Amino acid sequence: MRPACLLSVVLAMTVPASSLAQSARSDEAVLDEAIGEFERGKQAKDDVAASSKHFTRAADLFAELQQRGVRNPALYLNQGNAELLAGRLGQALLAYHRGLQLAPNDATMRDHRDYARTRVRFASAVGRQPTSAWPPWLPQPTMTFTAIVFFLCYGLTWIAFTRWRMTRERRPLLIGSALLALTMLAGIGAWYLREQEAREEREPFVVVAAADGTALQRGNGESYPRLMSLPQGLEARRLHERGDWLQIQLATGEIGWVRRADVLIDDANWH
Amino acid sequence: MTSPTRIPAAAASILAMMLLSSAFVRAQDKEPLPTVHPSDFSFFAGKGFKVEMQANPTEVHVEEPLEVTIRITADGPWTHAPRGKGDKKINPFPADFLRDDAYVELKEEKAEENAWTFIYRVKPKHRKAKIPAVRFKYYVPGTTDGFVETFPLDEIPIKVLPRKGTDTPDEVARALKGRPQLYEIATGPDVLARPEPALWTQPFPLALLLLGPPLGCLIWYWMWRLRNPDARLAARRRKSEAARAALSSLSDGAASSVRLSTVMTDYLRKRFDLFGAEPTPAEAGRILHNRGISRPLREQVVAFLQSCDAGRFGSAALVDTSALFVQAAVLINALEAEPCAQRAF
Repeated sequence: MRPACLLSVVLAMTVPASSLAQSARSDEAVLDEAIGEFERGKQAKDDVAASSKHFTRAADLFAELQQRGVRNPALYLNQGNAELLAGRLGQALLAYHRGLQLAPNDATMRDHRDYARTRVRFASAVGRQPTSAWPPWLPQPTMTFTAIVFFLCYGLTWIAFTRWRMTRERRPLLIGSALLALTMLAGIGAWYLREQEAREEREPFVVVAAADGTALQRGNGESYPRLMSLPQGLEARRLHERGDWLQIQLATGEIGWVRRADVLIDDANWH
Repeated sequence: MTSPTRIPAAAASILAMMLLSSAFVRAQDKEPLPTVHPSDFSFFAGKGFKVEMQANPTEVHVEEPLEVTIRITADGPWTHAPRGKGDKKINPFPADFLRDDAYVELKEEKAEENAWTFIYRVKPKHRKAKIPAVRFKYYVPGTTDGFVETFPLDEIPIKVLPRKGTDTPDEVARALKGRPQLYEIATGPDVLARPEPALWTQPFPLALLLLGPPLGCLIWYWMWRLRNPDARLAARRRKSEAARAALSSLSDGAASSVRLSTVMTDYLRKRFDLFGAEPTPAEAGRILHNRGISRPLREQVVAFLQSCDAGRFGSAALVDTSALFVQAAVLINALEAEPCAQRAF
């Protein structure tokens, strides 16, 4: 009895200590390990099985950093690359999606995201993402950029109208009016971007992470007719959630239900 | 792999679902099955049913197939049992297993005299996948509450090992090899940066950004007024004296077209900021329009200036200068009487 008690005390002391040591690992240590795993995967890239194992481990470590609150485009790019090299297409697309939300003008991330999309094995045109009409050379407006333009124009408008008040000349009046119009335009742009963010929260991004052939059902149950099979990496939007089922809308407009366990969802928790 | 583990199982409520649409066989006893029955009723009727369940292998890698065999035996006489191939669309396994038809299938179904065997081929999705305990509910004819459930058993203890080999399909792996950019990752402190809220979303900076410009401009204007105390006063005086000066100069000299035109344009220049050395009547009309002068009066001024120009550049005999002289005084007084002119300083 006594040795058993002693053992339990030792266990009670050691187990939390070890788990504490695990959680007390610094972000730098986790990042170093992730980079190390990635490098090992790179070195073993001729052996697909071995490299995949290292890339999977690296991706998991990058994901751990995210759970610790580290969020930046570079981390998401790293994670996306590791996931893609590990063959986890859905996770890779989710990582790139999150990275592009933080840095919409990151050309490398966009390039890798587009490349990952080409790996999705669509059976038909259904569910394919449409080609963006935005010219690739034109930077996409971000909330920060729009806010800078707004506040700059706002301040200059005040200066122009004050100058007009002093001199009663026509030129400052015209300049002030033009700046006022720009300010309003930037304000509308900021409102539009905020609406886009609200849509991301309302209808978050969903990516199929299970194997190819995930069923899209007509209703939230197995008994409903199966509409089609979805490939791994298919991107969609969540409309509703009921129990273990999500109602999703594909990029081409089709609506159906999938199991929650089969998809990764970019819900508000990661923000 | 390891040898199959035999597990006496208690039942498959799921089997009831699976066989729902099947016909019934061996209706030796003609007593029909109750029309009202539990939702998990298996559609077996008789006495002494037992269920055995086994998985083979019990140690399997993620997404590798294993076979689950469910065998139902009847120790006593039986009256009803489902028959047929069963329904492949029915999924007797939870979401832990790949459920697509390509992965879940009723591989084999055999019916003996007193035994029924169902073999499934499934693939666990992840390492925590477990085959759940199933319940088998059958009907005992001739009893009041005739539904009996076999003794429930534990779940089948299978061991799921990590994914074997690569997750990457061969063609993807081949394609990835040709894309060296994917092997480049960012390093350094930037990778550990945490998100910080934008400056302009904080209440204090936002208030500063919104209120700063108007406050700054107010201070600027106030300082300008301090440095230029006479500018506004001088402008007002200049404008208020413009009419008086114009009327007085009209009465001083001879009434010629050139002089009348000069007096009127000087007045307009001082009073309404008309610009240009030799403004045309149309330009004068535009300025008056911008200053808010009413249209009839504006047109009269333009006509007056056009008449003066006609006298200056055309035949002077055609222009009645005395009438123009009177009209000039009338127009100046009318312009001064305009509400917008009175508001302007």
